[in-house]
Amino acid sequence: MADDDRDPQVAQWLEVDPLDDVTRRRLVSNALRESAGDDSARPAAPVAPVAPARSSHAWQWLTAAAVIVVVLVVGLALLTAGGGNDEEQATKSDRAALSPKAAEPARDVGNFGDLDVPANLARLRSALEAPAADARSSAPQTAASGANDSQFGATSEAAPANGGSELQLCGVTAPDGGRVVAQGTGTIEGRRATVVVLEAADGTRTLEAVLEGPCEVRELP
Amino acid sequence: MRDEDDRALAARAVTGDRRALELLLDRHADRIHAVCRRIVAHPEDALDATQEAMIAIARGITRFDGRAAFSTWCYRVATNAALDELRRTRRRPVPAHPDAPEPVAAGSGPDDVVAARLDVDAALQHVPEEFRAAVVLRDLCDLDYAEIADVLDIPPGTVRSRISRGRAILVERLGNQHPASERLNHDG
Repeated sequence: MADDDRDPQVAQWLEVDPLDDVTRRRLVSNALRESAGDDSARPAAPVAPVAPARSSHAWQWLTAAAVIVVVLVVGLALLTAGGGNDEEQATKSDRAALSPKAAEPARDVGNFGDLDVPANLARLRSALEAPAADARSSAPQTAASGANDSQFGATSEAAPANGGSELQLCGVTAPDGGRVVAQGTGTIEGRRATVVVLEAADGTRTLEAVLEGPCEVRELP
Repeated sequence: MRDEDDRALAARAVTGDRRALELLLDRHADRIHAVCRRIVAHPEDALDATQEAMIAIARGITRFDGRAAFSTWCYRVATNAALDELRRTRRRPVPAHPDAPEPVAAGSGPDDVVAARLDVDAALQHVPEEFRAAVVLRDLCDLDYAEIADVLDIPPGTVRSRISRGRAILVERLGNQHPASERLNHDG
């Protein structure tokens, strides 16, 4: 036997018992698991360096955390802002509930001329107390009949500017909870006058005249 | 035939076939362990080296180019893993086997065979690791000198010398077992 040949005696000495099945399976599974995430075992896939992958995961976590913080801050800010406006919102709601008709403009029935003339005053009173459609249809007639008072100009001149709660003339303000539901113009004792139907908070209505020069408020019978 | 099967399995494993890789590892686990066991000598350390070798094979399967037999490539990886394990164990503060039994002559009965195996472990402790690896690759793995030279990255003449000297030490430690090289051409 040449020296290059395998030595059977040494080979016999060096023989090792086979691994038991459990150990072999454990070794194989460990090797597969350890190499499972290693892209170097797959030539088609690009090899991703370990450090950048960890860095990418870190950035993902940081980004997610930042988004959560922003959402929480914005949500808290919105809740705080909404809470701060609660009182204001409630006040606005209460106002609307207490005077649902406050936003309605006062109905202007036109100029009825010299209201010292009982007939003119009667027509004005009728127009003020009539439904809106009837009043509108009768206003031109009454206005035409009172053409002698053309110095008062447009019938809307004395119209309330704020939906009936405050008269533009003389700065007269309706009582709390009251409002002007209709108005007409004319002259009383030679003074420019705005006759209004004032509706109190309890629903009762009164007829009052606001005279200018000087300003004076009279309750008409 | 088996090598042809290995090549087919390796070709599939290279493309990412995990089942093929599993079959290859399972098929060669015993021989990988044997190489590690005889080079490292310590059973537990040998298992560690075996695990490292199998992981290296699984991770580096794409580097298997098919020029050599798959088993030869496995032996190369196993040898390197075992030598690495030896280097690691040398850095440990505890001596590897301070109370290793002295070898005794083996008989022919089963008990004698077991005793002989233990004796081999003890005898291998006295063989320098570079000689040990060459003897293991030649007599256990049946690699030729050229393959061993390639695995150990040494000239073939050095392979021959190391094998001869390693065998001689084993014969000396194991007694009158009469290995072939001792009988025919001892170049110790």
